[in-house]
Amino acid sequence: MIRQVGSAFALTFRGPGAPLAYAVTFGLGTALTAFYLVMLPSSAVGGFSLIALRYLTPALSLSAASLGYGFALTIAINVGSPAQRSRTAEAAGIGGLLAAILPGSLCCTSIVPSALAALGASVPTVLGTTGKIQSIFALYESAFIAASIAGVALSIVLAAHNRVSHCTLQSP
Amino acid sequence: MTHLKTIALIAACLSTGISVTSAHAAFAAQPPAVGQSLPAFTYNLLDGRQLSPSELRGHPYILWMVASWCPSCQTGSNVVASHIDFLRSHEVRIVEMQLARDLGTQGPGLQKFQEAVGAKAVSPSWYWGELTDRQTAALDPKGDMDVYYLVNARGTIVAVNGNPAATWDAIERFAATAK
Repeated sequence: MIRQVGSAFALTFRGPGAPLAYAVTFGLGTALTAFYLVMLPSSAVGGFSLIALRYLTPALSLSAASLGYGFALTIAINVGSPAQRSRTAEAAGIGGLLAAILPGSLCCTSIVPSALAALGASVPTVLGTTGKIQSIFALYESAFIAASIAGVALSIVLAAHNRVSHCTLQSP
Repeated sequence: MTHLKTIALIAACLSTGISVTSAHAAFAAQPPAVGQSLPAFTYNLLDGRQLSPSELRGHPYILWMVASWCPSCQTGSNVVASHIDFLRSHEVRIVEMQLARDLGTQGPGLQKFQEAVGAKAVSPSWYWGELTDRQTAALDPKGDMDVYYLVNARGTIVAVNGNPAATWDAIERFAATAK
């Protein structure tokens, strides 16, 4: 598996499409990493805000870079592939990116209680239910981030497999 | 065409239903607003004492509602702790209240927040307690957590805001002009 990923990197960053691959990796990767540097610690301040940067830890910084550049690598491998793009790889990566947003956006904001109210829930129902939903994102925040990174890592493996398999089939 | 009409009809019914239920929920449950006074509740404190309205009368204060499993509430407590001397110097009191039954999921309790804050938690201007179901429904009917009321010395709400960790500047401005 590691060898396959290594081969896919070599094909992507040493082949004719290398400039585009570098541009995608650093452009998209940096933009996504910047977003997650604010998003991941945002549960500490109750929503997406630059103030969240004050609560950035080394572990969260590493997670943000893993998500941002990891997903960008998936796209770079996919874009440079002569085979059809691996939709499964992209779906795994996007799933990972979305899962990482959940704790910061749902744990301590008004989204969940507002949604319950919009669905017609009574005040006692809202007050007795909102915590049951929101606390999942608060208490298992680390698990959500770990699962997100796993999703993005899986997306790289799937994209690499797609890319290398195609080249193996093409070679005489 | 018939299908399109059916879909449009269903969509119209759904959107009407949603807007009606939203409007109903909003109408049935309005929290106190800026310019009004808070209900004259007596609050149960963690140390077993009670905080009566008369103790707050004549003092600017912050009524802050939290859940003990909420990370932004914990961060907010740390921020308040780092400024508690400033608040005290401006005679601003903090009433930090856990929402009834932690909004449905019992967290570790506010004692954990107090432990994290350390000695500052016992500042005489910082009250820690838990709201009853009735108080929670009256003060925070929408179930938002980490929200606070800024109440001036005349007992009038001057602002409703959330997340002290992110909005400390607003609290500081309030404290500087509250008296």
